[in-house]
Amino acid sequence: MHPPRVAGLVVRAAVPEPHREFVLGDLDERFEIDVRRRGRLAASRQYWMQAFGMIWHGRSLNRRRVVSGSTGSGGRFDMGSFWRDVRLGLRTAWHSPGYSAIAIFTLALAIGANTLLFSIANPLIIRGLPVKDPATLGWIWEDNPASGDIRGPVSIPDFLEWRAGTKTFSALAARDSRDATLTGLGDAQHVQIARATADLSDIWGLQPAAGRLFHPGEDTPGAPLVGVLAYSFWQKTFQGRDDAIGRTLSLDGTPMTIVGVMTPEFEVYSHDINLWVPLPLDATLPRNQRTLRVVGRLAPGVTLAAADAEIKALAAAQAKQHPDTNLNLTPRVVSTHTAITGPDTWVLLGLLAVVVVFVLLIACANLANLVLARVVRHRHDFAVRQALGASRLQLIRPLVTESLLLGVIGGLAGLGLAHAGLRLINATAHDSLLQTIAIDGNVLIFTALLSVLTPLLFSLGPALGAGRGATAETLRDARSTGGRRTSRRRNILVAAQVALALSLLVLSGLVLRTVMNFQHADIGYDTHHELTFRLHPPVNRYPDDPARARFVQELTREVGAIPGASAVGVVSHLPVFDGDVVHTMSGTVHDAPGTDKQPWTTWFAATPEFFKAVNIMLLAGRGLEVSDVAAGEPVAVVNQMAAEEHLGGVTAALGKTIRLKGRGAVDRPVKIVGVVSNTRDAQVTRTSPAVFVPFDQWPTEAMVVLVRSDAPAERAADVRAAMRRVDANVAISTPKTVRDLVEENTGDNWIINGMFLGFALLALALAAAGLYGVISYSIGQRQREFGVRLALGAAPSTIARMVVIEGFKVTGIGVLLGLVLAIVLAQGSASVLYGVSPRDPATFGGVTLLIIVVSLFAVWSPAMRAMRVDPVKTLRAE
Amino acid sequence: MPEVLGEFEQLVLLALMRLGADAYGVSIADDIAERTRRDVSLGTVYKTLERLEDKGLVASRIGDPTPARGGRRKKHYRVLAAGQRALSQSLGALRAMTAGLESDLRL
Repeated sequence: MHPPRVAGLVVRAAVPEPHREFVLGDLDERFEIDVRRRGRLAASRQYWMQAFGMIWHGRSLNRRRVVSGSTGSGGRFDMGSFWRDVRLGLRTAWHSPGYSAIAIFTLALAIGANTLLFSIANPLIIRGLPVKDPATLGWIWEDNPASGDIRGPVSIPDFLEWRAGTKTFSALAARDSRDATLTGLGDAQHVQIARATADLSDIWGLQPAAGRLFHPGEDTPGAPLVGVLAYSFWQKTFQGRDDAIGRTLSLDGTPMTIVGVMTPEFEVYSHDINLWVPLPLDATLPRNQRTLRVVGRLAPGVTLAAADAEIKALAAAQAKQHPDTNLNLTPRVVSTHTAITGPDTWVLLGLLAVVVVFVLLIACANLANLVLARVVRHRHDFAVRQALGASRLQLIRPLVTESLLLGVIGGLAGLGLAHAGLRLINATAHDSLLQTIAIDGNVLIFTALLSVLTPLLFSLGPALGAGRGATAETLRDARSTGGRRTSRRRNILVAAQVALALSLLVLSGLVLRTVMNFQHADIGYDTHHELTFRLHPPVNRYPDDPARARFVQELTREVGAIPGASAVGVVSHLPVFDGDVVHTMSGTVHDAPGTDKQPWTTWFAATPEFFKAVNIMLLAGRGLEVSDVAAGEPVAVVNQMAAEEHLGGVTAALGKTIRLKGRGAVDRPVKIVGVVSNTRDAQVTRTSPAVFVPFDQWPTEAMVVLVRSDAPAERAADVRAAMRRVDANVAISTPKTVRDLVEENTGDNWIINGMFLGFALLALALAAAGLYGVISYSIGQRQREFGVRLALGAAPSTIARMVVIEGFKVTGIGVLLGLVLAIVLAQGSASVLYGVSPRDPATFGGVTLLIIVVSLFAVWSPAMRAMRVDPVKTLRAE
Repeated sequence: MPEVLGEFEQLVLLALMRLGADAYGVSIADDIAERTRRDVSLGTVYKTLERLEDKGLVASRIGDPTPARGGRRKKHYRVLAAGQRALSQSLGALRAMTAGLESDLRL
């Protein structure tokens, strides 16, 4: 295990030779100890901190060496002129505190914004998954173009056939996750388990933090059950004690021996998993029970495309052999980068990158303007020096050095800002990745580069301009202002700033609308009055359907008796928040002899009070009833969309019989007895057909309970007590309100949106400051002109109007360019927008108006100043 | 004039006396961190050792390479007589100043 390499380089740079060996040795030793005691992440962080400490303290080690070595060779390379420039830069910066403060402030904001975004992108793009050799992993998703499902899971039989048939993968592993009940540790506990094939840890290169991971063969059906604890669960439940290993607990009633603890590094990417167990590879399970996430190690020299083609061919054969379950299934082999990010992550990150780069450009434009102004002011000075024989390099070096100094200071301040921003994000995020992002070595390098490149960007242009064109004319005319060319250059910079700011504001306006639309999306049922929790009654206590049905009846009665609970619904899985379970239907209006096209529908098993508990409206017929028992006639309630699209309409649907094919190799006829209102499906943004069947007739192993009440959050304790009365051996998940679920699912959008908006407003402020600066400066330069005009009888208001018009010309060009840019950007981001058109007139109009108002403010006070020019004074100054 | 020791210098000297022959960067930092329950950066320890060596209070020798540290050698330190003297003076001064205040300071 190596200490962070870059940090090692930092130490090498900071500590001189006679000390270096001992220091590096000590740090290595320290690192090894930390890895053992606190894990690799903490150890790396600690190493970095120590490395930075060395930058500071290494100097005192350095100094001694310089003193002792100074008698010998007189300095191998001349640092004298560099330090002279630094000193000169510091002195100039000190003597123009206003300029320096503005420059540092601007740089801090711009570099801070970039650092913040880079920190977020860093784990996704650069650090990647903590798996072995991610470049030769292939991740397999199953899409279903017919149902519009993407990134879907795979069934066990399909997986086993791929594994047997593949030549492009050297190994193929799978995992899934589910709820389970853990007993043997006091109260029964509801845990989230991951089941994985025994070779997954090999393929991913996972290491145990203690004990061992799975052995080959432990994933055969019937093998004795072993378990590997997730690191945080081990800490929480066993306080990290080693004697946890070897203990026998009971998982869903099956005895399980704890054999090891999973590495903590992996936690970030599997934060909700408490326990890992082997996945029994039972080839007899139905093909439409798709739960597996598949990943494989590519055989040497095989490309993703070749693997993709092979798996697609295997799937095509399966579709032919099993058309009832595998029709339309299209597997896709993707890279690790694609696999760890959401479908729209790249669009979002790309957009944010555009935003922060724009902010940086605007800041550069501002600073370039300031430098330009200074260059122009010192034009005479430059000309004299050049006439006396100074080279161009000598002229521009102090300018660039000063900018670099400001850049470094601004970069440090920006790092501080980014750190503060990250803290805020860590504290408020729901997503584990966002909760743990921090500034690491990569980020520091990025920020350091920015701190150096940004000043070069904004100072080199104007500085080079200073070196050019020292003419006799400049020497003669001490008051020269640089003429029309420089002023046009300044105006172009400001127009560009306005354009960038406008497009950013439009973009963030659209994102803001999207986030608000998500937050308040009408998902088709009430989200304010339910408390919900999930459970998975252990199979040993509830082995069959009748037992589970009885358990659910008992639960409904006991929880329903809680004071304040007006309805208790039990459902196989929660619409919108849980993934969809899809069944195909036959017997619909689309049935025609000779076609095998079967429409699909989402499927839920629900108890009678479910509709009442979540406030789904009955539109026709009846709902599910207590009389719909297992032995009764199989019935179903469909939603409006299923009725209208597949069953001939809301009333026509009633009484029809359809066959449902799906989970657990079911193929059953059901009679439609009612139609209810639509809800959204798991993709939130759309509605799908849905079929609700009586829970008693289709009892599922895992289930979700919904308790309706006016103050759902306050019912949690009562619910827990009631559940203990039903069966203390059945663990339940933490009760949450449905509103909490909405919050967890959409809360993080606010972070992204906050950044968008924050950065856009920053851009606006910088652009306004730029406009103000340019107009003020030009007015300062034109005092004489205004004086003459006023002396010749121009009204002060005419002067003010001149200034305002000049400002607005610049703004106008900026606005036009910005609108074009905004249209392009908005179009590019259309896929992440929801409920708002990429050309939303309100957003475009509002932002344009805002820009105009802000620029009016920016030119107002310079215009007032121009009006108050005293003609007598200015003319006398001639 | 007797040598005036800073607080951290006192801690480092005390750690050296505790650790005896086994005193080097990591063990010193660990010992101080463990007993005082505060974060100790190795850089601070080196700087202090360097200063103490300059003042003639400690001496150092280069150890043999060990495989555990990637074959890198250790730099071992020990307290010189002058160091012990300076330490007992400093601690004596401290004790003299705290005399009678034990209950207020909850010593």
